[in-house]
Amino acid sequence: MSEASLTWHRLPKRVLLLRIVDILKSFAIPIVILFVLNNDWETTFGIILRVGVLFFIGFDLIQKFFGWRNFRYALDEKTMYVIEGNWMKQEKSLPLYKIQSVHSNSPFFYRLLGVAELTFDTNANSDDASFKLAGVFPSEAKRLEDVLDQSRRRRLEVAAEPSETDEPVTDEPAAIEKPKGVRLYTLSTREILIASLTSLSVFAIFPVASTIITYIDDFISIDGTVDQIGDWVISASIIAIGVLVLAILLLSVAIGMVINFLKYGNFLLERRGDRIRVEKGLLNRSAKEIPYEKIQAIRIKETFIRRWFNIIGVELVAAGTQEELKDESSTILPFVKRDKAMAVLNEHFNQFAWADTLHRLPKKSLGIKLMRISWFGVIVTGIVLYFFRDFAWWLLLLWSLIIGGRVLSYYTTRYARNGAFIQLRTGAFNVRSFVTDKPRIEQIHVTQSWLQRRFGLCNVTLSTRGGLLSIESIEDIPKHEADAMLAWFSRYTVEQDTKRPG
Amino acid sequence: MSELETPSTISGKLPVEARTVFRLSSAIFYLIGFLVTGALAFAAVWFDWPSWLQITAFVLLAIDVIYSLVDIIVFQKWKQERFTYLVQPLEIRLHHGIITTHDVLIPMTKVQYVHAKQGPLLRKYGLQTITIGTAAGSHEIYAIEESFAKTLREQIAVYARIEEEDVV
Repeated sequence: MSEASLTWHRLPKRVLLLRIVDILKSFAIPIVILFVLNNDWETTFGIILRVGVLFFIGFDLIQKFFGWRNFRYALDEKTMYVIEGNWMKQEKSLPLYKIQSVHSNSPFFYRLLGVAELTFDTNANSDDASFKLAGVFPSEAKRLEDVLDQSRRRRLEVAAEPSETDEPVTDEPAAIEKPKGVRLYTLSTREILIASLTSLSVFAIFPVASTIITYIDDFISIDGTVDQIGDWVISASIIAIGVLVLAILLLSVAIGMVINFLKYGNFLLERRGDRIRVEKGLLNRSAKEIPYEKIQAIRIKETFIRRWFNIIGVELVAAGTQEELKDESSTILPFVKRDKAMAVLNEHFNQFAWADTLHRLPKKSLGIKLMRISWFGVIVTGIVLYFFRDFAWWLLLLWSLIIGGRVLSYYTTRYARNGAFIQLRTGAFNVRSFVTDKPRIEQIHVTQSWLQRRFGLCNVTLSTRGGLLSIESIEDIPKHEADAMLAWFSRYTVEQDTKRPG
Repeated sequence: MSELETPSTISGKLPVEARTVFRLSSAIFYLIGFLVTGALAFAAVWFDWPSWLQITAFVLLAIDVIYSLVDIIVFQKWKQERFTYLVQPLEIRLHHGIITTHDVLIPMTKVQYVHAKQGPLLRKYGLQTITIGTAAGSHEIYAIEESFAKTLREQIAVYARIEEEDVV
């Protein structure tokens, strides 16, 4: 690369401030322990420890400063260049056509300073790591995205005539302007409120509270207070305890609402040409894009409580998104009424068709599910009966959960093949549905255990390119159905009803 | 399911030598287990541990010996006998498994790489293991004859057009 001909940019100076905040964050615990709670400079060891920590912080500061100074990036029409490294100077170049998508992420402090973090995602299969510009101004971010857009557009024009896929978004594919974003969904305040009420995390307050109390207890002695609470619980009436529990639950709902509003506030699902864009968050605002052609499958999740309210969550299984972002970025509808969600899916994600009728498992599947020994249950029962015989009553709850879960999973498990699509529905308390089509399946793996062979049942596992999250399996389906799936998947089976297999 | 029997189809089983390799490698594995449990039993007697501990140690030793014998004599034989593979121009099928059986179907277009590997035991018997990798994971055809492994690997690479696909 010719360094002279390019205009090299550094990240803005205020990014340094963010780095200092990062350092303070990562050293927060030692700083609080050594300099606030327990600030003694008496013993030699204490002095060495504190000086050492200060030295490390100073070293980190200098390193971060030079890291900022040595980090430069440039962009021409085809390639992005980055030079970085303090000890070892690294020069990287990334062809623009390899960039699949740009994620922008603005944590709270970034927003405070008016900058955003941009991640340029490449195909996960290649060795090029994704590039990260940790802190650029919105105007610069826009400039970069425009350059990327233009290069993408040029490539499209060179590659072929505008494809005949129905794109209601772009009216003039030849125009150099950006495709307008089409708003697919925004979360209403009401939806976030209902989601907070129907979340199981409402009950998480009890373990969290007890952890916090014991944690505080380590520093400040509140043992006495806790004892008083214990005395009070014993002496107080059931009504008082009920009121207290209710108050804690309400508090937890309130906390849940705050968290949900921070996380999903101003949620926006957009379609921009051939890309899906998800923006969300109040304090930490993040925007992520998934190219349409990278979508491998769609998954619908229904939690135990939300199922009763017909509220579902929709996720995209996408190939080539960054591993750490995958889980977050792929949720396109966190908690939405089923009919609304299905309307969005049927209109804008119609490359995947949902079947109307799904097959149930045969009766013998319930039999085999109940026959299996629950080793977890047996071990817990053994331990409880041996050591904590007074709590044996809880075993009833445990076993009803285990057996109930198995019966439920018998009722929830469904499957269907229609045309090129395959759809699986699994789960016991939380139900998940998965749909993908034949060209996107990487492999089908059928296993049959010794017990299943006696019943003529087996397990089927499908995988697509979306990494670990894309693996979906269905248990205890009849062997002939699994064979039919294999035959359906086989390239040697003549098909009647599909238009054109991949 | 109609399988078109084209002449370019390669199907087969593992050679009988594979059985020897499987037996040897699991024998080495079980030898370690035998040494550990044996040492435990020996220590139990030597240091005169409580009788229930001595009994436990000997029961463990017995289980270890019986299981390894069954595994080496029967299971490893089955492992070799019950492995079949079918390589066709459009797809690969694998069928294997002793107690739990596995059926795998990989379309050729999804194959990303084919590796061959050979440990010291395999080398001694002139065998190779082929690994077929997709974006969803990898599968192995264990212990097939060296020159045949080369042909098979090249054939899969041709079918999957691996050389052409490295440029996006």
